[in-house]
Amino acid sequence: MAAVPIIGMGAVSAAGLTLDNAAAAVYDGIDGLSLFTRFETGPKQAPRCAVIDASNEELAGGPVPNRTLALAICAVQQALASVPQSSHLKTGLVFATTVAGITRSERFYECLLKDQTHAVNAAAELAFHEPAALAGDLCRRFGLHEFHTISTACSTGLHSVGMAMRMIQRGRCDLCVAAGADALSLLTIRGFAGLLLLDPFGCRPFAHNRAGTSLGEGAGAIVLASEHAVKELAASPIALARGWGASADAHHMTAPHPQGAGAASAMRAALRDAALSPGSVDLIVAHGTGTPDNDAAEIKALQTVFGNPPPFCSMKRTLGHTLAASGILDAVFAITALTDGIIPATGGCDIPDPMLGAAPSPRRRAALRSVVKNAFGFGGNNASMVFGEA
Amino acid sequence: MMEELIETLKQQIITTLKLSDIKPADIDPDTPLIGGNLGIDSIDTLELLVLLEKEYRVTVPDVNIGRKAFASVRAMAQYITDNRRP
Amino acid sequence: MTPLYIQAFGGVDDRGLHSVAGTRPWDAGQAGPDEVRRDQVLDKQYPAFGKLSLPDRLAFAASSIALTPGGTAPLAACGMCLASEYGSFSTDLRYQESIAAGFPSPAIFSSTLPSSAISDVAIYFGIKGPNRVLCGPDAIVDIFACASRLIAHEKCTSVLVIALSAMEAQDRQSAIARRPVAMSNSAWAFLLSGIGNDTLRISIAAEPGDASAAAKADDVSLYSLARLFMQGAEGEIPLTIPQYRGKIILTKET
Repeated sequence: MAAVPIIGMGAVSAAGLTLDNAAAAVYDGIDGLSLFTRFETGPKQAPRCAVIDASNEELAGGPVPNRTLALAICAVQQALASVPQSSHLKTGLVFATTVAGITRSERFYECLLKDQTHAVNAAAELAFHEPAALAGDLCRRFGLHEFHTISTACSTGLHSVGMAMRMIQRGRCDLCVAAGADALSLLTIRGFAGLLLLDPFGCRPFAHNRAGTSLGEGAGAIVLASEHAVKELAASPIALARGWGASADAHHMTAPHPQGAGAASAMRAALRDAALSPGSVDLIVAHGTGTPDNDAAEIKALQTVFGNPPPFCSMKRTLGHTLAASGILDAVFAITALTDGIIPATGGCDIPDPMLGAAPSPRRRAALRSVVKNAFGFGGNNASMVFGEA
Repeated sequence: MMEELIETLKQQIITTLKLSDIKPADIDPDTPLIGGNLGIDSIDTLELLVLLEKEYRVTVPDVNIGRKAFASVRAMAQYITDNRRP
Repeated sequence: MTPLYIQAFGGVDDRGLHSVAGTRPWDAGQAGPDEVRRDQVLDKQYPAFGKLSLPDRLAFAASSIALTPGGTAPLAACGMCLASEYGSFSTDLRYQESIAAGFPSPAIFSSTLPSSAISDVAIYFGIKGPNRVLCGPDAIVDIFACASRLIAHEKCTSVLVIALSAMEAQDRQSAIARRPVAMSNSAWAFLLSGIGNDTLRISIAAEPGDASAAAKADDVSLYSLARLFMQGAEGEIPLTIPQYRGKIILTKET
């Protein structure tokens, strides 16, 4: 199917409150992590997380019920800012999140567990607990025509871009906003810590002593448009969404297939969808979480698909692992890297792991025609997309 | 003492991991716990880690020690006996 | 929408366990789908069945009924589309309770994702194709459309479509529920393919309705669909979900 133009993007992350402010930090692999002090996270030392230094009101430009929604509003606002208004173009939304409104509901539920009289407030406090409630709010807030909510763990942000691409290709809508957002919550911090997946020193993707990932908060948004909408709006496409691939590992709830079989399958599907050969890919923005298992499996998958992999990087040390947002947040910077002609450095990878057989590229300039972005979620849900120059 | 602890552990494993169709007699104390016929995976191991902390006040400081401690029910019993705080 | 043919289905709701062979009511003393047992949906022992969270167990139960009879296409090339009405609402709260109790549970945490409901099915049945997980009460229309597109674009040859409405009773009955919710849980799984063999073709005629319409508690659509399929009958079932107006249509292919 034909590639789909991208005409707007937005990002809010520890690297910066806007896309432009953050890109340089991402390219340099700046350490975006700091000791998490926003709330108590349990008996062990607080983890290092990618934290955004802004209140919900500052992010959203007004009061909002929870942080994830604030982050989403911030990113979507940026993405739509460069898209001229048009009331007769049908605009859809595909929204991705895992924690949804949990930052508020977990605080409320903690009170409820201690004192059942709080139950009278339950309806209001838990109104935005679920993903679909946030998507509905975004749809109404931005005057969009329909919304869909997806949630497949850490791959879901990238799936939102793929799904938005399909909606345009099918003629379902003229414009489609893909957005992903996740806030830092007690549930995810304790959960990842309990699964021994956090690196106390901060994530070190593809490094020889890597010991886990680092969580972050953030949101990304990408506006895709049909050719008809591009003409109507006299928009200048930033880049093209060329292909989307997905697969399941069918292996384990939290560990990837050790040979990266599912990841390879997703990448191959994305390349087939884009009608591109592996040789035409100039950069891979990896999922690269910094866990021993993910990085090893991902390199094996890259080697399976590409033989000698093209230059690759991970942005997790700079942006943190923003869970549902990561696929789309990283994708936004994959696209800016494509258009700026820069292969980003991989923060935290001081000494690459020699056992992996491949090392991330240092920061350098290069002519980039196509970039692949990967995102892999718990339960072995794999997503891969190809973006190309406009 | 050890045999008693092993029998208690078998029941606790079944209860903690909510194993269906398994009775204590089905668990061989010396067979590997993970990847065996009990369908125990690495997440279950982490649940057993919580069980050790909760019921026996025994901690497992890292994954490598955990691998040895959860090698079998007998290994668990031995680890508890060696590390139990009075 | 590219034609989709129903090859098999499975369902659990308060009426009982539903399969192509008919409906089996719950055993005396069984309160309903929340108490489904392994032996009611799988012949082989499966120790991990008991540790599945409620939403995951219901999705697994419906899928097992649909897939176990066998004779279906190889599942490695099968995709999955899940419509999860409540996402991980209940498991999120159970996990938080385990934190409050001082011993956060890794097993519960790994289920605090709407997509965990298909992970267990994928792992057990070896389903490796692409999958989609959509949340909210309107998602059941989207999953059939997703399945149709996956097959149309040859991403996979068959798709297991699962519609899940699962919230633990303690959460439903308390004041926590802030919109009308069905009084019991349900899970439906339909194995669909792009090739029909003397079977029933499903299509959905749906138009976007009012995106701000309040959600309603209703699983009539899929139960009616299953009943029509069991009867081998053609028919139309109105969709009663927010964001869409329309119907599900079953047509006999000869």
